[in-house]
Amino acid sequence: MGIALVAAVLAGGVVRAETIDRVLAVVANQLITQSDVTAAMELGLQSADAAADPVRIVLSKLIDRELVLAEVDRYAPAEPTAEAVDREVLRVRERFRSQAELDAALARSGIDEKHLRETLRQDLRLRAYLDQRFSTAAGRRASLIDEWMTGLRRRGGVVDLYLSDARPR
Amino acid sequence: MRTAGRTLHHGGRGGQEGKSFLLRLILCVLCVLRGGELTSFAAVSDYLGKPIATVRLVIEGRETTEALLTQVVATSAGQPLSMVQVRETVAHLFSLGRFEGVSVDATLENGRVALRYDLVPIHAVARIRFDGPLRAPGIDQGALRRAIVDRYGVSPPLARAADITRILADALGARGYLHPAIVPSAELEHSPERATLVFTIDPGARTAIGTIEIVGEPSVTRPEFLARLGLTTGDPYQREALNARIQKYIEERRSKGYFEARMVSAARLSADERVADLTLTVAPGPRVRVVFTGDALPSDRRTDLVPAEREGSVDEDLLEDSSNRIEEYLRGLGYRDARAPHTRAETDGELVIAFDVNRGQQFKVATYEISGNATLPLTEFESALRLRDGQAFSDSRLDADVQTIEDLYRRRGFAAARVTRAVDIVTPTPPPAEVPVAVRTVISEGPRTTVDAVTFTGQQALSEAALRARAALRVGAPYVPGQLAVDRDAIQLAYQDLGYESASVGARTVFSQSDTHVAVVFEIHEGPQVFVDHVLIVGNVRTTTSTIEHALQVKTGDPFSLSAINESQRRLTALGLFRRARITELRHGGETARDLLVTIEEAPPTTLGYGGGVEIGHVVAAQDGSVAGERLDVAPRAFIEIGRRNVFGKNRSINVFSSVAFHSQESSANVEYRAIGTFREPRVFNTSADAFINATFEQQRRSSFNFSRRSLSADIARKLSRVVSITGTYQIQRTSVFDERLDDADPLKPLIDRLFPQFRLSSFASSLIRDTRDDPVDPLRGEYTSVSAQLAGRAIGSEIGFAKSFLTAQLFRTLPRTNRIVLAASARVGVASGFPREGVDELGNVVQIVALPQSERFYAGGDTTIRGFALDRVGTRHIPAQVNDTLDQDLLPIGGNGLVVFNAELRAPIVGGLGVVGFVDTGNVFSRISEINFMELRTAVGSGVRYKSPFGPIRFDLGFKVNRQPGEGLTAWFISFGQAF
Repeated sequence: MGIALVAAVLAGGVVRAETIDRVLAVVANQLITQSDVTAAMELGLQSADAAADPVRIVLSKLIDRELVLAEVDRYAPAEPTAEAVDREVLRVRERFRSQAELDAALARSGIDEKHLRETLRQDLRLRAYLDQRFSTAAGRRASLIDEWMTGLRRRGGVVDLYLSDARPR
Repeated sequence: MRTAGRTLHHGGRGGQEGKSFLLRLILCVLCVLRGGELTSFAAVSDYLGKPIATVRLVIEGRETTEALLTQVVATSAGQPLSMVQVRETVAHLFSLGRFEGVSVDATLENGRVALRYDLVPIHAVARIRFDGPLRAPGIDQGALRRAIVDRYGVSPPLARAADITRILADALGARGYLHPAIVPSAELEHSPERATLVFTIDPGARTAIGTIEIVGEPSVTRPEFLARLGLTTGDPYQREALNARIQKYIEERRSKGYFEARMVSAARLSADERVADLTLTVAPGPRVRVVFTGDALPSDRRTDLVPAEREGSVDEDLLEDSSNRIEEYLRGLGYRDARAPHTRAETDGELVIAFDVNRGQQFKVATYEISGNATLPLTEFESALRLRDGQAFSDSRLDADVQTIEDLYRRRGFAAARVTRAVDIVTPTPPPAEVPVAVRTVISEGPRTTVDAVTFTGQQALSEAALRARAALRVGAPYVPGQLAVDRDAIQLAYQDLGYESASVGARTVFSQSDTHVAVVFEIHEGPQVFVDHVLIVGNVRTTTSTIEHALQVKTGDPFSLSAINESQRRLTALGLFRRARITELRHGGETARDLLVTIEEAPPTTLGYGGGVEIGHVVAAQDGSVAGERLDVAPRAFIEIGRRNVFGKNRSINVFSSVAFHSQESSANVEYRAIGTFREPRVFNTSADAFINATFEQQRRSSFNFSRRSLSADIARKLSRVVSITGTYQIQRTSVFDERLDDADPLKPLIDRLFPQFRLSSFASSLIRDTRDDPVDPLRGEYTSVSAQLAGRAIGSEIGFAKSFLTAQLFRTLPRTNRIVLAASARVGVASGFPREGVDELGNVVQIVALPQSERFYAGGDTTIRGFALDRVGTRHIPAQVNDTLDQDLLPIGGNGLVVFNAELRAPIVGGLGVVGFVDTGNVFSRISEINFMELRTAVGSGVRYKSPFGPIRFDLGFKVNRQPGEGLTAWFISFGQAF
């Protein structure tokens, strides 16, 4: 078995299938795909810190983001200015050494600059909503948001396909 | 780093137990040596931009070329691979709602990419099964199943298995099995795809009750107390059942006056959690008695005003609220200085709460003066005021009046209008019981603000003219603060209809120094426009996709408009083809694009309806040689209707309706029948009109003849608006009249009846209908108006020519301040005129015939026209007989060319579905239009009973003739279905 695996790895011309995309979760009718997770990590939109399973961490954050966005859409907070979105785009751009690198990262995730811009705009709306709703002192704010998020997760109808133990054998 | 899919895959295999550390180390080194190919980004990069060799769709290992799936695939052979298209395809395939998993694998083959979409179909759960040692005491599989079905329905999604496991654990925990081991699994079946959801349950050890400690003093002995709670040491510890018994105990105690009775239970589990030691903390509380002293309060209001038992509390807050509630209640009755303080005293273990009610004097409005209204006359708002002269004075009513006046002024542009109020006692030495007061309100109108300018900023997608059309605030118009918010919402909605779902609109006002002018500025932030990316239609088997698309008001590339989606949903439902039709939005990737998923669940194509009943009523009974009498006719009825909808998938339908009634009266037509076949073609010739072809076979009874008829008609019906519709009809029919009760020797019998016992009629007809009723069967409000005209002529193949017109106008109103009493009024007018043709009379003379055949003439009398008269028994009759009489000398109806029927009815519900009516019906049948004479109307009054049965209203009506004539009975009664009109 082990020898076979070693042989397979050594064989440069071996035909191997790579999973280049798949559905990882569905939240409020919004799909979260593997390429969304890739984009979030590569573009620095979500951090996985030094987690053993970074996909799990980032996916959970994207699930939470969608749950909050569903709330944001219900209450329509103030629209972020174009300048604020520009600043966020610039911040992402600065993570890359060149525009070509950024373009390559976007291409790997299958999103374009318009999509990126829209994602960042939604992030700003999300932040504005949280600031407006939880405008209390920092310590209390964090616990209130946690409590609120727990409720959202409970009610949110999240289908998490990444958790293999959430599905029957 | 690996791709997410690979990470899951490897992680799921648990690190490949059994592999040696050395082997893994070698593999890692080799991977690094291969240039980091195992990083996800590098992996995707390897394929990007390379030409696609093949695209395969695989469902559980089987390749498919199903058109519905291939048409949503955006990646195609020959094109360079783009992740944008891969993402789009994944989203579309998933959006179809048929798959619970979609993944894309890529393989390099000679520098080209082979793509494989792996689709995992949703396996609907057809069964739920429980395995394991479930015969343990207290475990009810039915209850476990119900717990699942109550939350997730009979077919829970497989993805919810973890949630369902928690529900089962809770259910078992409530039965004392605190640590069950529950393992979900699925047994999948293919073709059709379905699954059995299996829960293998090991309930484990059941926790038993150990010691029971009672803290506090229950009202009964310990054994009795424990018996009432059903607690015995060694019994299973069933948490929820215990809580339910505790609640019941508390309610019993409260019903006996122990409003503050409390009990809580706490369980302390042993180390292995097999024993639960219980502590019951009991606070019986004092027995409470609420008494009212002083002035009387109505007994039926006391528990509302002092809700101590309902709230289970007599704490000070509740009692204070109760005092306030009593005082407010009395002040509403004019006792302005009412007081109801309370005291509490405990004696002999009983807590007595006493409310000392002192109503004081009652204040009555002697005069109510309103002044200061220079601009608006009193008549503009007087009727909306609640306080009236002579009424009990109430501060809250006066406050409401002040608010009403201020609101009215604001709506007229007086934003700063204020109303001050004063209440003065009229006589300084009032009588002890009743105090007259003079109420004065003084209006300070302030300046009237008019709109100087309405401007918009930030708009790009909508022109200023379009925005201005949405706003009701206009230059020169009065400024209404409330309208500002309405306009802002209207503008926001206009943007949302264009797909600007996050558009925000702010409104700013700049007032002149004197507040007489204002400039309004709407500040618009449009945000991004969202478009419909794809419209995916799934679930339609018999219905063609084009039929569904025709009902949709959105298509690919349209702005994502919620109004259009809602209208599409409405139209899909209105098709009547589907058991369920749902439009859901699906977001994927680009946040400015949405897919719309139209999920169809088709209704059964064949419908079957049947029913039966009995109709009872008075009918004319001809008697040889004497005046026709009336007899009770009991007619059992039955009907059956078979329909086939969505014929050829185009929303066409075919219906066959047949009914039969058996009459008690002896005649050759004891059986009435009608069979109607209808074919419906919706949107005929691609217009908004529907076409119908009807074939009818019938045999019907009238009072002075019977007839059979075969007819074929073609109708076109079109809705001009939500309430107005128009129809056009061509009809050809053959009618045979038989069992004529009018003697041929009767001088009043029209010649046409002798000459044309059978005739062919070819006619065109049209009708215009306006219907605003809230319910066509039993309306509470609205109007129904229809005008119809029919033209039959020999030029179009008819043996007899005539023109006939009928007008119906009905009105329904719920009377204000009544318990849904409905006033219903109806006017029906029919006029007809025959086209002259020649005929030969019994003497051989050629004569001009202008009358209509008897089956086409108008008749009145009976349960739907003029109650109090038997069917068709209304007509004009003179002594001696005149040629224009519509009743012959034996009171047999002849029918006429003119009809007038007016009805008025009051419909009052009583209880449940039962109601009563009172009615006045009047009208008559005249031989010619020129003979219509309102002085000759026949009138009946009466009353009836209505019952709203599950099958529709059943009614009994008893009518009395007014000014009855010789030979007529006084009454007629009917039992039938539906309202009279």
